[in-house]
Amino acid sequence: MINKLKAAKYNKLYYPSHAKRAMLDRLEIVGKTPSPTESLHQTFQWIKASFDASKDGGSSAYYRYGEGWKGSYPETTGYLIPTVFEYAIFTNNTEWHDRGIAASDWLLSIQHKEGGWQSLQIGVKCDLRVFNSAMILDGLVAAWRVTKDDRYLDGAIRGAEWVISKLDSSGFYSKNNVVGGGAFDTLVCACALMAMQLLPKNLRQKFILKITRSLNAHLTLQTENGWFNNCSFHSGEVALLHHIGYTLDGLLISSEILKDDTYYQAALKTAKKLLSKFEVNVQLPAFYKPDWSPHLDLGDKASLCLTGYSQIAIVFQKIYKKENDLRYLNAALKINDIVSSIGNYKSSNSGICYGIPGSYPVNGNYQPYQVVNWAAKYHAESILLSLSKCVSKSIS
Amino acid sequence: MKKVVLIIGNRYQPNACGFIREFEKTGKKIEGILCLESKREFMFYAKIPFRIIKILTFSNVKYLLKSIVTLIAGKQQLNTLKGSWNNVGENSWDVLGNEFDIIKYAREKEICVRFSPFLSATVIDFYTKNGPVIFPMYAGGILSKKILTNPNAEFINAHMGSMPRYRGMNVIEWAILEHEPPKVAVMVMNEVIDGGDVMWQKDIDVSNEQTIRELRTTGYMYCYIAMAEGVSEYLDNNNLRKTQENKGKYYYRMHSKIRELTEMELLSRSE
Repeated sequence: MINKLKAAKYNKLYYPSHAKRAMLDRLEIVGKTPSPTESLHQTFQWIKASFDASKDGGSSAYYRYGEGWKGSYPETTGYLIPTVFEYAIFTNNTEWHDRGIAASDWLLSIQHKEGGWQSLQIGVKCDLRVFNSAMILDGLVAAWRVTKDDRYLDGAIRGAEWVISKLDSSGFYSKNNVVGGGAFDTLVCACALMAMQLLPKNLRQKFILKITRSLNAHLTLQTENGWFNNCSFHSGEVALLHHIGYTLDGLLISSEILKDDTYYQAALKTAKKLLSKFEVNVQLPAFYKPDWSPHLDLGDKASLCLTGYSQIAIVFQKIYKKENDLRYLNAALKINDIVSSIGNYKSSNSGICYGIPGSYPVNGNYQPYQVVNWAAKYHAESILLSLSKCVSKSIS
Repeated sequence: MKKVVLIIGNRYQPNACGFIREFEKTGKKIEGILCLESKREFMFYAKIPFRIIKILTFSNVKYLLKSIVTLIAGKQQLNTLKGSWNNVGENSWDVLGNEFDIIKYAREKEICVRFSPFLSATVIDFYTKNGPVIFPMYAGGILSKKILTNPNAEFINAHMGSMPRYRGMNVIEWAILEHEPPKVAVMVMNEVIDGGDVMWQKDIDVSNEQTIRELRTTGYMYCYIAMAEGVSEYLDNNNLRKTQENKGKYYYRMHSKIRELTEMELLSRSE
């Protein structure tokens, strides 16, 4: 009880906007389901607030109930960029195009001379990190595609070279990385591939061989039932849906770029499991144990990781396009509806107005009492995909 | 000779009425009816006040408060959203409309009727103690292992999809969407959902159906016709049972957008 009161004080639940949201979450009351386009505009209203909060060209990492807006987050600003460009095309609005360019310029301005980028948000002192840097490559490649300005391509190649230089002898990114690396680094491989495929053939080959070796090493983390080892911030215990999402997306993108079905089949194996889990229980818990049973992080029930939800919806939509299996699209649309409804929350507080929380309910174990920009990014990307307007992370 | 005991959920269940009507046409006889509802005798009515008090439990009061808050805030409950994919009206045999009172019919035909609030191994043992029994299932849900392993009992279920291709839910709609001929499969239930041995399959003629409601109405009709035909044939020929190949897919409730696609497909077929 005392801990709950302390948490309420720390998270400023005495603010009416915070208290209302927390209460509605507790009662499992969500907004009416908006149309996909409405939800997209709502989500971008929050993303705009996240850019405006930081004023340096980047997007604020998150709004924390107890502390307000945090500084710009290089990693998530990086992978937000392609979605921002997609939205600019969708709305035919140059403001979003300019924001995408400004964010890319900001990322170039903070690139370390070694080629990598710092972890966490600006203002927090930390070293260069592989995973965070790789996500930025996605944004710079998108900026180059849109502008054909070689500064972005050069930055991406330098970044990719630094990322690949951190591969250890066994094919993992165990140094300078989030929790010593994990299955989610398949997305590091995929982002490095996105940049390196733009090099002339004779220059890219040696990098692609290294990345392929790394991907094969990461495949060994997949268990017989499709679960992944080392797929959370706490290696070995439970897998976080958000990290499963990264892992599967990394495998799908790598498979597409390398034209290698092995990675696609590995992603499909896990996706099949998640499809069945979602449809039978009408939810995907934030954390899965190795036998795919849910980890009950809220005592008697499991919270939802909304970023992971949208990532899995994206994976399902990609699989639907490849397999022409409408069951995957069906599930993705349901997931989009769930996240859209949870995000459909109007408030005078720009930090929570139409934002997507890290966890649902907001006190769940993953990013508790935070409204995070990466949840908004993946939800927007999933909606754009469902509207068949999104080509981000595509190789064409 | 195997006996046939029909299991129903209530006395006005239209698909069970349809089965009785169709089964009569085959010249075979239903030996008993097991109704999974409490017999409405004096105690049923005497307990009504207690039932009303029972409604005032903590969870029900909480649900009521949640509903009021939802209404005032102009929002919805997460479970309501999830429930919206169930399309309850169409997924129920109620689309067939009421036919007749099965209990009254049974008494006229001198068929033994038993009531039980739920399906238990003891009830099944009672029916099977003197020999094998076939139970056409119109109620009872997913059966426990204890019930399914009774060597003298075979539980028969009609499923609105071709087997093993279409397991799961909304399968007649999925078949339309995937340009596959819709079928009814009559199965002997086992522990795998929709994985039992198939004894009878029948094509469903949906050439005139334009909406999902019409599609499901026709589907339910074919289900009881196929069930009657299948059970009748199976009584004469035990070799009809065929093990399913394990290569089917499971299908699930449709999202409204996918339902729209299905209805568009139905319309384009009828044009």
